[in-house]
Amino acid sequence: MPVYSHLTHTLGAAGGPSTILLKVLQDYDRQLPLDFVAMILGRTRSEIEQEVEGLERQGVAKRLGHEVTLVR
Amino acid sequence: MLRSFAPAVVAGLVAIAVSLSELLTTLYPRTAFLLLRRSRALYVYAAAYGLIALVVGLLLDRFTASGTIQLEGFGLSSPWIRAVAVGLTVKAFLHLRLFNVSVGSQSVPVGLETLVQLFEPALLRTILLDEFTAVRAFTTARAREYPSLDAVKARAKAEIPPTLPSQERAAFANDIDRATGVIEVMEHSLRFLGRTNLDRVFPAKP
Repeated sequence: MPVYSHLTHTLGAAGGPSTILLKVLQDYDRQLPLDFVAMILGRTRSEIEQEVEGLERQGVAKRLGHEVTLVR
Repeated sequence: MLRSFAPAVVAGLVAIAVSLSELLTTLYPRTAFLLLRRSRALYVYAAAYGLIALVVGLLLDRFTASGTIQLEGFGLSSPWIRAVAVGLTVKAFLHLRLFNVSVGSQSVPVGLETLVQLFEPALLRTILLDEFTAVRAFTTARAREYPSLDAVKARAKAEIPPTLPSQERAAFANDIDRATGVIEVMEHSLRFLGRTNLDRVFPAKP
């Protein structure tokens, strides 16, 4: 996690967890492993999974196995 | 002495302005008004870059005067233009790294950035915590005037600007849905929409 701590800092004051997750997905603009997202945001995988579920309900993101991507 | 010191001071002032504005506009664009009032670390951060720029400006002036180094480019023969150029570029220049050394899970940059690592991470962490504390104090006071969580959530979601991209609106709505307290809703609103919108949606009551 220390390698990505600058990202955690960058996103720390960006908004709520879903807003931050959306920003990560937009910035990388590709399918991302859930573990990777959890690592760069300094959260647990289950926390990220909950956020992904919320974004899925809103039609923003889509979970594909162990990965997540934006809905185009 | 004064002839070389004055441009170096200009370099320092430019570096202070650049580092301050870069940090606030990239990381805290909507809560900068709170940080500017409450965070001493923010000013120490900017002053550190200002001091480094001042030293670089003095050294550059000395070396160019002695002919040790030569600078070529538009306007660089003027000490004032050089000072502005130093102020604008010193922060980016200090983040140059030659390679990383990994010690366990830690990665330590080696290069000019090693110097930055002496002060920047600790100051950035302090600024982050200062921002949290300031935002929490600001929203706690406002939240006392709006006790109903359901009403606050409904109002926050109804007032999301329709001009924002739909994905951002949906993500913000999800944050609001998952909030467990009025303070949390206010914090999300402040960070996402800014103070003007927070005042519009949840005006301070007299």
